[in-house]
Amino acid sequence: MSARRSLLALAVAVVGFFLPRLLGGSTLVYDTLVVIAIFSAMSYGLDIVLSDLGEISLAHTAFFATGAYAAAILAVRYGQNAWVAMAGAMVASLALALVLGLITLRTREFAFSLVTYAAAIVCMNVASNWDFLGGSDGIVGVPPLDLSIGPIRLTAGQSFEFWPYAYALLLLTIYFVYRFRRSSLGQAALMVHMNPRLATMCGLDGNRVRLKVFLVSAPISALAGWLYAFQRAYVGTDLFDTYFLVLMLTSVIIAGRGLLLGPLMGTALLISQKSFASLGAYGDKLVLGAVLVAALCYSPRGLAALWPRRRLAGAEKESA
Amino acid sequence: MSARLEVENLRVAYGASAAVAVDHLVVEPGTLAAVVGANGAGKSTLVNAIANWSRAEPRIEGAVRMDGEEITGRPAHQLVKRGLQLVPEGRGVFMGLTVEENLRDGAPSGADPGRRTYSFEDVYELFPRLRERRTMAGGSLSGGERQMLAVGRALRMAPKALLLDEPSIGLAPRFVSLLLQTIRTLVDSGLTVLLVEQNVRAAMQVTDVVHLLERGRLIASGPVEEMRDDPRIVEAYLGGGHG
Amino acid sequence: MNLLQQIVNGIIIGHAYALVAVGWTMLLGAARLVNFGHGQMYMIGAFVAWWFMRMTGLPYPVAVLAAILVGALIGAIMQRLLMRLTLSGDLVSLMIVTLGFGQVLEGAAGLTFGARPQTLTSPFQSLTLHFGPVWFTVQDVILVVATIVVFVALRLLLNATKFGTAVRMVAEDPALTRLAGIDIARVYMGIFAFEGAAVAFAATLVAPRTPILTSMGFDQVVTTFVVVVLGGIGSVGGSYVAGVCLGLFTALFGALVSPAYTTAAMFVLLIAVMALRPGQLAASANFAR
Repeated sequence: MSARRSLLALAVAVVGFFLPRLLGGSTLVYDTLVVIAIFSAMSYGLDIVLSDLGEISLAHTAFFATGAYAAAILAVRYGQNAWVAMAGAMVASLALALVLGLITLRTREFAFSLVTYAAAIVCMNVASNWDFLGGSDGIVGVPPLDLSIGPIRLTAGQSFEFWPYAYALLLLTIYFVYRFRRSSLGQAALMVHMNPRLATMCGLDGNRVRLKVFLVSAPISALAGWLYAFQRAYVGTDLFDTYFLVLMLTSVIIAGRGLLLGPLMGTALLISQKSFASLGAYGDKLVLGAVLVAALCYSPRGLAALWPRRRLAGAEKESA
Repeated sequence: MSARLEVENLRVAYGASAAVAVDHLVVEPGTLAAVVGANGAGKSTLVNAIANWSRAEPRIEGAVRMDGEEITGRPAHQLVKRGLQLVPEGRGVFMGLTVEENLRDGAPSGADPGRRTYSFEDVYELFPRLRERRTMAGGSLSGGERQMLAVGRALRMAPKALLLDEPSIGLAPRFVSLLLQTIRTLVDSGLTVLLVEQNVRAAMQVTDVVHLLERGRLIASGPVEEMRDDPRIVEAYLGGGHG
Repeated sequence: MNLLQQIVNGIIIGHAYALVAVGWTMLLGAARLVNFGHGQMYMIGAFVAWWFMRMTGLPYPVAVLAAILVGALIGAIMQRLLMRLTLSGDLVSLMIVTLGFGQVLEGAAGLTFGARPQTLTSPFQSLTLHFGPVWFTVQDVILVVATIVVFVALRLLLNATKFGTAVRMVAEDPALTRLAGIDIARVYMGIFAFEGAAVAFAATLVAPRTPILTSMGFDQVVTTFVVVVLGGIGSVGGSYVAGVCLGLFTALFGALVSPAYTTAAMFVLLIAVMALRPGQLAASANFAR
């Protein structure tokens, strides 16, 4: 990235930090933006599998939930601090991703999607019935976030206090995805996606690449879950709801696959509707579903494709 | 019962690449016209575009007329009902269906009077091997038998005009001449046929008219007696030969 | 534990699984489409029947009919929506659209029918029959009989009628089917309507057993998926056998191990089958057998 672009990105990032204050600074604004940041981060996990690898994983709700549950269990049941909870969230999601990745190693397309979908449902089933995971009541009483290291106090209990952490998570995630797409694994994923046979002839093992990408994507969503557990102070089986799944999918697809800021924009759009123009839980579901259907039926390449001239980061994947 | 086919200013493109650009081509009623040319000349694209059928998504511009009536852009299944039949290259039968089931769909009753309908018996008369293999699945027939079945299927729809795309591919030589002779017989009974063939020699034994296609363009047309000595045909013959 | 009773339970549940899965089998086998809205369509079938009985006071059988009609309509609407996408052949988008469609159904159901659990009352649910050590309800008998009738009728339809032949043609080669003079959009419409009608019918027969919620339907997706994969994709007879076997598995697992984790156990079973027979997920050449 050129120096000018980097400077611009930095400026935007700084301005972004002040966004809630610019928008009025109310609790609703803070809550909404925190949730947008967290859910965007969750969506980026799905994004690299969907846009880069070209497979529709429907298991990322499970990774998100795994991160949240791991964080909650470690913080509430074992009294661990937020750093340990973070590590636990990532490890747990990696373990789940490894199992799922091995199961789906040879499956493609609809079979892959189906198995990941079924896996998520099974996870929900297990979480509702296993007392260790709180059963249908979930786990309450997650303590305020405390990432303090030594003398530096880093805590968050109220919505506006969460903003810096959520924002940091978002920026880190976006940066990670940006680097990932330029890494050898990211390039390999694209090659396997576009032309598996050619990729094999270039020495890439399609299955291993898929597994690696899957493993890389899981902790991203899990981290979002980790923060969400603290922000909401409660984890329950509602985290497995297909609402999150459809939210992730829609936000990744609606702007256009492969756009770096796509998931962020998509999530912002959808969560804003839920926060500022909510039609009730069921009404929002309906709207979300309708948006997804409409987006795919009328603009399958994403809204960005409707723009006459696009010069957006990651546009080289337009021909996908 | 035989139709006149006419193509005018036909332009067919796949994505960004133009595949066919034919200004004018006519197949007179009751004649057999052969379209020949090297691999990739656009022969399949041409006949597929006439029938408005494809396994891909080509963009078609221009006019296709049958008996003076414009049929461009009409859905393929409607053209079939109007009497335009295509036997495509490659898979032309349903592997999972028996021979009988493949032949079951007949032309709708009340089709234009004068369209020659072919009953099961008529098809079995033309292709006795199919009668023996009535209850076998399409997938268990030999290549030659499948081609016969594909043509038989087309005949069952009572065509006024029949388009054949490379019927001889993968067939043993005696099958090829048998098939082409059968087609000649159909033409002699009044059917209009446009035949795409890479096997130029075999085609020229039965055809009335030859059209030479090169890189999507019609570069020569004429009665078979004249075209036989055309150096470009000889070139195509040497270049094409057997698929 | 009454083993015989569990076996009877298993057979009954198995028929339920098979009936819930039959529409999906057809859709996947003939149209290569995974319908992620299947669970919500099941839910809607149950709720339409419930609502119909409450609103009109008409008896259960009429409500079943109403649910079937609404189900077929929903299937038809889905087909229209997906037509545009089928033309561009983007199978991935097709799947996600069904997911979105399911969300729309869930939201609409919640708004229309509310969030509280309801009961779909069938007069046959309370009529029990005893044969020595085993017992079951008349509803169960109806379920089993109806399932068998549907499967037999479907088999006949596919192999002995013109429409059935058209479905098999479309399943094998949609493009070639057009050359046979068949309007494939109509065939797809029939397939989609069948999926909608079948899953709604299954719901009305099975739902009286437990309370119904607008958030339900997900377990049905898993069981349907397992049934279809175990039975061979697109295989009608296979789905029946797989359904009944899965029912027996569920009943025995529930009785011997734990009733709460049956969905998880099914999934493990599926994974095991997939690991042992990776070709199981390929579209079966035995469509409609």
